[in-house]
Amino acid sequence: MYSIARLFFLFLALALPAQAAEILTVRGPALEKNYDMEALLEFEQVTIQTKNDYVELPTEFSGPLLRDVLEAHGIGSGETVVLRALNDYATEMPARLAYEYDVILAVLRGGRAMPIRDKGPIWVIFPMEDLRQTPDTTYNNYLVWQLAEIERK
Amino acid sequence: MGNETFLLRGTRILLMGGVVLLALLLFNLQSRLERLGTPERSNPLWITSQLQFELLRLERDILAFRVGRAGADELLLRYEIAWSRIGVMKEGETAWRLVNYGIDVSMIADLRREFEALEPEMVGLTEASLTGAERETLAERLYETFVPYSASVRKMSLDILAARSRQERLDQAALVQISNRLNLMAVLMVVLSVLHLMLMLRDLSRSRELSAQLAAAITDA
Repeated sequence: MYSIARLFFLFLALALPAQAAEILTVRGPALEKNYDMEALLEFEQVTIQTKNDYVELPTEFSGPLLRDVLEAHGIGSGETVVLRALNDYATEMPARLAYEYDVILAVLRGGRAMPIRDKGPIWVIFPMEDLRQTPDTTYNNYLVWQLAEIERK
Repeated sequence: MGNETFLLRGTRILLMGGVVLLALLLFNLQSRLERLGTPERSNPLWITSQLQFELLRLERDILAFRVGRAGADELLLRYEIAWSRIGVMKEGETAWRLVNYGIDVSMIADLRREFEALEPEMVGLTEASLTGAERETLAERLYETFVPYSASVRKMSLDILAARSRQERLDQAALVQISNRLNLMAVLMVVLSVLHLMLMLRDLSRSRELSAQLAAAITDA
């Protein structure tokens, strides 16, 4: 089942030549790497259905788990990461959230790649329904669309 | 004696009613506070300011593109980012709040149509695909299309600010009203509790007297 899903994602990557460019840079103590879509699809792909303030209805998102990407770069749960978007919007996020919840770097929305005009190519998606809401935590700030860079603070 | 039992039961029922009313008031207060406490990135004012900011950056890059200081890829990126801000305003919580504030959003639909109309010229735009004259013509068309929207977006920001201030005043008045009702309920509950306690003590004292009288009557008999 997993290999079928991977084949599907690889097919999508091949079908989208415009997405072949590098779309994400991750800087961690163990590794600094630029990813294109194909490289991101080499991580295990996870699909979640969730609703947040920026979509009308519960929506299906797919992509690698953020914690898998952080682990690959040696960024542990006790650290803080800076998420930076294409338009230079940046926010600091405790990495523990990625280890605590199934946060994904969504590259598909409803089974389709997201162009920049539709918050793509990468949108940080939290499983909002699983979160323990606390008054001082604003998860919306971490739902960075058009994500371009992740670095350890 | 019958009247006292009636009074005791009456205060008990009033006390229970007061507890239910207090719970309802607290629930109302909590839901209003939750509504006040969710501004952040779905705040229409923030989103509109982002649209304004991205349109300004697009205008800057169009001018830079015209004189060759920005490439086609930079222009395309800025164009796509500006377009994405329209999507944010038309979907989810922001769209709902704009409707709730009574903001005229027709400008957003107009702006979206402009982006769609420009799409054929922007698709596949590369440095190699343009002559100098074509570059200038495209830059002029883009600039003339987007510049007039700066004033409309600024006006929309001001409308949202005014609507938000109005909403905040209404929320504030509602919170003061709930607070006053809670204070009144708290005083009533204290009075009722004291009254209930006094009636219970009096009832207990009467019962003791009656028991003593009965015990004395039994002894006499």
